[in-house]
Amino acid sequence: MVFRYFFDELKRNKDEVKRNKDIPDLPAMVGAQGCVIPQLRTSFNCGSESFQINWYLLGCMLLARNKNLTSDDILDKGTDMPSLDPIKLKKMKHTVTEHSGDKTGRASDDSFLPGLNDDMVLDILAWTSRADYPSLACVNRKFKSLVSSGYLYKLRRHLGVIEHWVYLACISMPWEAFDPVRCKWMRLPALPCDVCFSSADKESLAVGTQLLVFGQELTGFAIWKYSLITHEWSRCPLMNLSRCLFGSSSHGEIAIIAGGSDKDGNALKSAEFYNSELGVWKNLPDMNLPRKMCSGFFMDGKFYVIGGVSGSESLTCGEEYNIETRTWRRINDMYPCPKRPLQCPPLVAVVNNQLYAADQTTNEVKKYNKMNNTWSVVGRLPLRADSNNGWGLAFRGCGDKLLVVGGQLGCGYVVLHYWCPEDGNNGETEWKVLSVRERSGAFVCNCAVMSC
Amino acid sequence: MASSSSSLPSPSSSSSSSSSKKLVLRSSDEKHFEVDEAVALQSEMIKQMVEDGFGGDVIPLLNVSSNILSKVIDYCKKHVDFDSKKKMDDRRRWDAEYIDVGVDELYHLIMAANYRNIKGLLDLTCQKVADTIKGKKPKQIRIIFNIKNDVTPEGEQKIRKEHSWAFE
Repeated sequence: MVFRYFFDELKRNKDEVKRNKDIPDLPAMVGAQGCVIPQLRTSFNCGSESFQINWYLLGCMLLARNKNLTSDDILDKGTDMPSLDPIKLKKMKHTVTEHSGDKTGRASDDSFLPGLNDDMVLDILAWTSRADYPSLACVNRKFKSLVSSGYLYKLRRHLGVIEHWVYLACISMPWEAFDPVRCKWMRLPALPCDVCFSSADKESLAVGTQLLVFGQELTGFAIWKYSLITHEWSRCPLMNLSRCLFGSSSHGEIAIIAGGSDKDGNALKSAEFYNSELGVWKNLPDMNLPRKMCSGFFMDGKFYVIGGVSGSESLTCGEEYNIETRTWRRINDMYPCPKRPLQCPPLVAVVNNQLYAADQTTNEVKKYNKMNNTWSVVGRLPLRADSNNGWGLAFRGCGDKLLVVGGQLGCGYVVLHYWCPEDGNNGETEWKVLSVRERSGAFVCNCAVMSC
Repeated sequence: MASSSSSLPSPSSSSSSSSSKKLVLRSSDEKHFEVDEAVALQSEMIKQMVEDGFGGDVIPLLNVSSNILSKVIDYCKKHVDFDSKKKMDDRRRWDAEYIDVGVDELYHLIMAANYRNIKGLLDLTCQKVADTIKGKKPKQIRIIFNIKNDVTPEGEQKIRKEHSWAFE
């Protein structure tokens, strides 16, 4: 039957109420929608327990009526847990599937894959490539509503299934997504922003199934968000304190942004936390130092911000934020290439929890040694970063690959270079070409890797 | 250890060394299979039963038919060998050949692996379904998995258009 979880809840509550003799027995429930309304009407005369039950009835009715109401609407409100607990996921599963089939795994004809239990199929679908979801959505109505619910991505996160796509905007190319596995480029819809936003500098960050683009509209700071699920742009709520030139990074469905510049150009020491499932920003404790034009990354489950400037001083220190203890720790001399005037924020990337940096002055790639807070040179960039002070070039972690995206002035295209640091290459960089995007212009404006 | 090995009708899988401890499994169609304990313990469910003291009896597997059970036992036996030798390439080659079956048999293996909680086999079979879906067009997916299409051609056109960004 539909929505077994609610049915179980209902039964449990009913049993509790039965003990109270004053309240009449409830009629059989799920699917019997007609009985819900009279019950609701009389509920206001009854005790609080009965009132409670009617909320469950109402919930069942709504769910049965509107299958498009996704589980997140019901279950995710009011929580900012960064990860899903299995119990909650189980509950969500009950609202997503219509429970065809029995416990042995056999299933009726209306299951996703006739012959197989839906619970099992959902796990299998979570393991399929995210590139196949558009095809699956076209199979039938049930698949369509599953894919557009976004549930598969929550399940993937829970199962630890991750694929990395690169989202790229260049000087002559609006946003496109690149799937490194199929080597396929996919165009995103046009950003429906004003002309001020489209022509001014922007920053980007991929978090969960969203791509956030930060910039300025005529009216002030604005954030646009592209959803992988709906393939649409919409406005993202503003931060508590709007800013630009901050350090940022994401981990699953959460992101942290730290420091940056306020609208008057002052460096900030405040930091904020974004939960993409809830679409809300929350303040974090302040950092020890204000900084702007810094960079952020997650490593070993902690968030770091390094480099940048504070007042007129170029910073070589970093700060580490521990999510559990909610504290910042300053790490001196963490960044090896102090910022020179006109240079871009630090080019840093994390692969397999190892930190790499590209030196905008020497074009060297360096690897961080966590144990003694030092850096060693592992090779050279496949492109020159110094000719443009590091601007127009992206340096990113993409799964087990270190990615360098950029072009040479005047060539009109960008090249995606990659190197797998763990590939038995004696630690030396060995760049290979992943893809060439022609007619993009040689300057990368924004680049974000969406891992989901 | 098994109490009735002499009367077993289909001990195709009982050829291992006689020194190790044996368990007897019974399929849904009442056939008995004697297997080494190490092979049977690939199943978390059976492991739990043995820990709970049911190892001496015939272990009934109500949802698994004899032909599927013998195939599952093949997998477990082979993987006990692999675990001791650790040859990844051999294992991959063997797995690929083993899993080259029709959708119907694949489903039965998934259900058996799920019911008996054999993680390796469950991963292998589920991955096979995922791989089968890979790169297929909606129409091909419907045919392979016998899925009813409840969308009108116009409706399908509309959904396709929504997802056209991925098909271009």
